[in-house]
Amino acid sequence: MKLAIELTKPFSDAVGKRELEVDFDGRSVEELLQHMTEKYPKLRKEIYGETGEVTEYVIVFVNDKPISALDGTDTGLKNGDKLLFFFPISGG
Amino acid sequence: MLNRKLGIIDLSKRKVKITQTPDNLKKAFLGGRGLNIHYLYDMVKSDIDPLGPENVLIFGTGFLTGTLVPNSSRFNVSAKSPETGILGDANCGGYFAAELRYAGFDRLIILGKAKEPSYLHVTDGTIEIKGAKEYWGLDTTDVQLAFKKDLGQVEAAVCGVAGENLVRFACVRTGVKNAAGRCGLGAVMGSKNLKAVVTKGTQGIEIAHPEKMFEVVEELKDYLMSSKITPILGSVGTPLLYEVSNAFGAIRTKNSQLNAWSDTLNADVVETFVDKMIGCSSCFVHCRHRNKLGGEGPEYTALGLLGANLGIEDTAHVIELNNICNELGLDISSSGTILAWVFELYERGIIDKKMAGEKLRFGDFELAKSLLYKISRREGFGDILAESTRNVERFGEKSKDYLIAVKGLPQSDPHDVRYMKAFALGIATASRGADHLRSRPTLEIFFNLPKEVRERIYGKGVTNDPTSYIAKEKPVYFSDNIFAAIDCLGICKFICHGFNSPHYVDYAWMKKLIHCTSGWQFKEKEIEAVGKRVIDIERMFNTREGITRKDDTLPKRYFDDPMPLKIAKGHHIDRKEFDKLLTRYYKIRGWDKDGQVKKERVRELEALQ
Repeated sequence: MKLAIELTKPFSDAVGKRELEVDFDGRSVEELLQHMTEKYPKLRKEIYGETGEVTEYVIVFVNDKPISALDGTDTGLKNGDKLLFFFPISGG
Repeated sequence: MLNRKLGIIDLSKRKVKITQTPDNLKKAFLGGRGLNIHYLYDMVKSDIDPLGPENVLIFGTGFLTGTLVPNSSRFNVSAKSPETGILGDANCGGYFAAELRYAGFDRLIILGKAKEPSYLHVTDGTIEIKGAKEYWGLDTTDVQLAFKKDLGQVEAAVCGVAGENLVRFACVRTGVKNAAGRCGLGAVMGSKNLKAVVTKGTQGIEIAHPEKMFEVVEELKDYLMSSKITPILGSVGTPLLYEVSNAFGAIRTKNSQLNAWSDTLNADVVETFVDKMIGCSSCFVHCRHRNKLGGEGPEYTALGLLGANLGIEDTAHVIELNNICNELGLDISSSGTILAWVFELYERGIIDKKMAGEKLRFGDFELAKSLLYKISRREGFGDILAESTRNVERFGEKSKDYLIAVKGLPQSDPHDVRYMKAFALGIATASRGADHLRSRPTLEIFFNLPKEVRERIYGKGVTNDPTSYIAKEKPVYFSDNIFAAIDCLGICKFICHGFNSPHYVDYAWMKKLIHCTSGWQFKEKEIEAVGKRVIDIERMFNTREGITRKDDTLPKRYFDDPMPLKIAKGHHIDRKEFDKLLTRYYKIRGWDKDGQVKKERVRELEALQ
């Protein structure tokens, strides 16, 4: 399946670009994260914590919902899905 | 720690009284925003003109301000707001508040009106009212430099030309950029002929348990520095939020007609204008950036509201507008919101060239720049714009449909809240009007927050879906309370539990910090109760000014116009769901169905007065 992925800082810095079109054979967000961190090793420290768990400092949207509102990293993906990765931050 | 004084200065009578806040009141309100509203509720009568001599202006430091506690630089400025006619309260960082405490004072209450331009000179244990004729008319940085030249290494909180000219959204400024920005408190300074409060102190703050203090602060510092948030804020600052909001489709654009704008205002572009990153007193984060154009910032708010909201793409232009607002002493949030409002009104024919004096349009940097100067000097159309949201009367009822404000206060941040329902409830119920810093429940967007953590923080039943209305009163209630408590302590929200992180300074940390500094033993629930007390009294103040349930609402556009772009496309606030959410918020807060503090609680709180 083909996925359109938009990355913001610091994920875009780790990958070297803000937009990716990923050709992906897996099924879930979890598999996609593994796929992406293998392809872009610098991304690993932004996605995973020291214990290998996905850090709380990454937010992933699949189309118009965060995966927290779906099935977390088990959220299934389909051809043509649009994903957005961003860092949770607030302020003014 | 507990021996700092309260200065009461009557500018009309040129009298200074130095006294002390009793310990029982400090235990009830701690300091900062809490003690400010205590005094304000007691001293301000409801029918007064906010720009008249009857208004009371309070500068109040936090309970921990000026100590070793990380990020404890904060103070609150409070008065009846000339912009909204209700509670005026703004929190500010920098170095002024710590210096005021070193000079021996926790709080200054300023009454009356000076006969001529004046400033307060606060040094070790003394307060003098001095003439400020030679400082009147100076921009905010120039006047602070002039004070340093004349008086030595002082810190000052000042108003700019906008405050002198009673612009209803003039701010109080300290340093190059730090502002008690909201609610027009700079105009209250101007109305009192007060150009500045200038302070220098040499008195250290006695700590009850100094060794324990070092230990706790070291532990907290390590904890803060181990977070991923801290280095990102310290290297990029809040401009990162622009990119996030814009990618998502939540950046207020052209008066919220659109919800996404140009990538030219992203953090990596802003970084090319950054000279260096700096911090406030006791700060571990260092999120402030000096820019190469001679000022400081822009923060996320300036990028959004002086950029996207005005239809301006050029980063240098946005930074220049940011610097101009800072120098004139204008609140950036209100400036960007009011200009965007009148640009749209002009496009729609609701106001015309006869009134505006020229053609108004989005995307015109020179126009925006010229209007900011005109506002600050109340020249031509600027004199009208200086009245802020009160112009609904002048422009007509239809103009209100396009005004992005709540309770007369233009929305503070550039985040379009139509997607995240808890964010919407937060700005609708915030005690000073449309503002994110009272209760923004950022954890709403943390996807990987374990259910037990979410429930421990917010309570049961809060869904993970930010577009759902279910139980969203709980995150707002939690955030309202803890942010009020941290405002009383004088600690920056950037290290407050629940603002940027599910970690950071929570009630358990607050308890430790209060104990090692003052020796006082608070229970965590008692600190939470301080926050609740503050919010209730702020509501009582607003009730006295006529605020009811009908005012806890949102701009019409947020209800009626779905967001047009990106991920957020199609989302808006459903009126019926919002109404039910508001009812649940009142219930959890213990207010009645009209959003009023119940009589028994009013009696309990008034007994403290």
